[in-house]
Amino acid sequence: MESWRLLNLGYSTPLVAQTFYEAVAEAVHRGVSPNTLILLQPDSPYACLGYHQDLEKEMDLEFCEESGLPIIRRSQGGGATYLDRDQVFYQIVSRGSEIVPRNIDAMFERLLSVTVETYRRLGVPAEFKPLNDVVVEGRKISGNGAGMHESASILVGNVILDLNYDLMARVLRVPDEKFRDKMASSMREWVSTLKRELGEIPPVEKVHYTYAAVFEELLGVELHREEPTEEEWRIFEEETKPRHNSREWLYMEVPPSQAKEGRAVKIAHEVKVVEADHKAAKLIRIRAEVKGGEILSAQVRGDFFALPKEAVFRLEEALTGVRLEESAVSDVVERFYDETDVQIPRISPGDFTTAIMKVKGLF
Amino acid sequence: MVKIEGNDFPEDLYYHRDHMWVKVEGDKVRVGYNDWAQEAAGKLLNLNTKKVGRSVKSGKTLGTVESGKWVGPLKSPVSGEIAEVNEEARKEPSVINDDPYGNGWVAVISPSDLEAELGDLIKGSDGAELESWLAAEKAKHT
Repeated sequence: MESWRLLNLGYSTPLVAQTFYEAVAEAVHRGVSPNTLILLQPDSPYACLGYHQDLEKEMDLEFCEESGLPIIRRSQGGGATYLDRDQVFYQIVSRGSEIVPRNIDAMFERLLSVTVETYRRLGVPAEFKPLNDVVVEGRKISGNGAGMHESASILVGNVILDLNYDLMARVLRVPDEKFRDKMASSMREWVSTLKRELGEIPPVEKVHYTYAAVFEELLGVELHREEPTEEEWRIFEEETKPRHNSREWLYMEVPPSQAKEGRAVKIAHEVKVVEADHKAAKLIRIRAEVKGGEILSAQVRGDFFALPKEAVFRLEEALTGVRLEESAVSDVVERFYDETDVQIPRISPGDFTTAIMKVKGLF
Repeated sequence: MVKIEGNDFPEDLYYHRDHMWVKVEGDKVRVGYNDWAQEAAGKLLNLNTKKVGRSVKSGKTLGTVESGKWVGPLKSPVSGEIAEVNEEARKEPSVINDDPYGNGWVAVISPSDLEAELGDLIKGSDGAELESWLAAEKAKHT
């Protein structure tokens, strides 16, 4: 049976909550710290960006600054988010452990089985959804990201006690407030919390205890409660903290794969709220909430002129439930022209199809 | 082409233990992520690399990749200076999944100590060595 260390850091500053595990990973890589499970909560709110994300595109910097919200670029993958005292973080740092598969899908599945079982024991019928989501009745209930630091494997995630949906939507950069409203309502629909599922928030200690017990049982390891080493705090002070406090890190130049036109915000497993523009002779702007390859709802706007004006609403209605496939979309558009006898100067049915299919490119 | 447990390892390449391949092209080398590593990572969504002109060291960071929610390092298999990076792969990193030894190359490097460093890499023609290395990797990780 593998012996692991448990660090319970309680309520910690956002920087410690979000980055101390990097110092642990460095120590684990150097072979001076054992495989470790960290449990903690941030003691105050902050905004958090995925490693490869574009800071200025994702985050509303003015809002974060005005509200005194720190922004931290994490060294793990995934998307921008808002975090506060109502999430319990687990951070799993290991090297050469037999319980942590190198295959990424297998690694997520095995380690997230602990999250799933923790929710179940707390009374929520959570399930693992491939590749890397934990859901309850189709709604996301845990955020996770992972990565490698040299030879150390890292998975970080959270048990969501409660969520401030409005602030979650507020910290993100959006084209306008209507987009933000759509995003917030999509989050309410597709992201759940222990409070929503149980009607109350269980004590943090119970969440810690349950998670640690399940971790030992399911993964077959023995946890030993310890404190961080002096070496880990030294690495944190001398390497981790300066890196995260540097402008180079926060404003890191990101790859062109992040520079797609339009705006897409991932809400939960397979769910995104997106905006795509198509510049035909006139502008067509599509906003849609999409799940998997299917449009849940869509809004069609632009600077074109339609007669009758209300006809466009018929197109929006007709797009609900349509799969984002060229033939399906163009059928809907053709039918819309046939049934409404709409006149739209300088725009062809093909332009609408192209605009709507641009949504797929953002998925 | 050597196929080891379903993954391709072309014979004319060299392999670094951090899962990068090396192809000697005159006085430069082309490098990329091997077939087993791309499969283990899953569909790649981001690829970031150091810039052209920057120096890299064997076994040190050349860049990073991200598949859904997972960020992993790309280690340079040789020391030298980056001469070229694959801009197409930076835009659409899944080309690495589709064609890891062709269009999915990552960078071209002007090596500074190639002869000595090639000796540390596994030759694609050495099937037995490749197999035992990969078997050890898999044993560690499944």
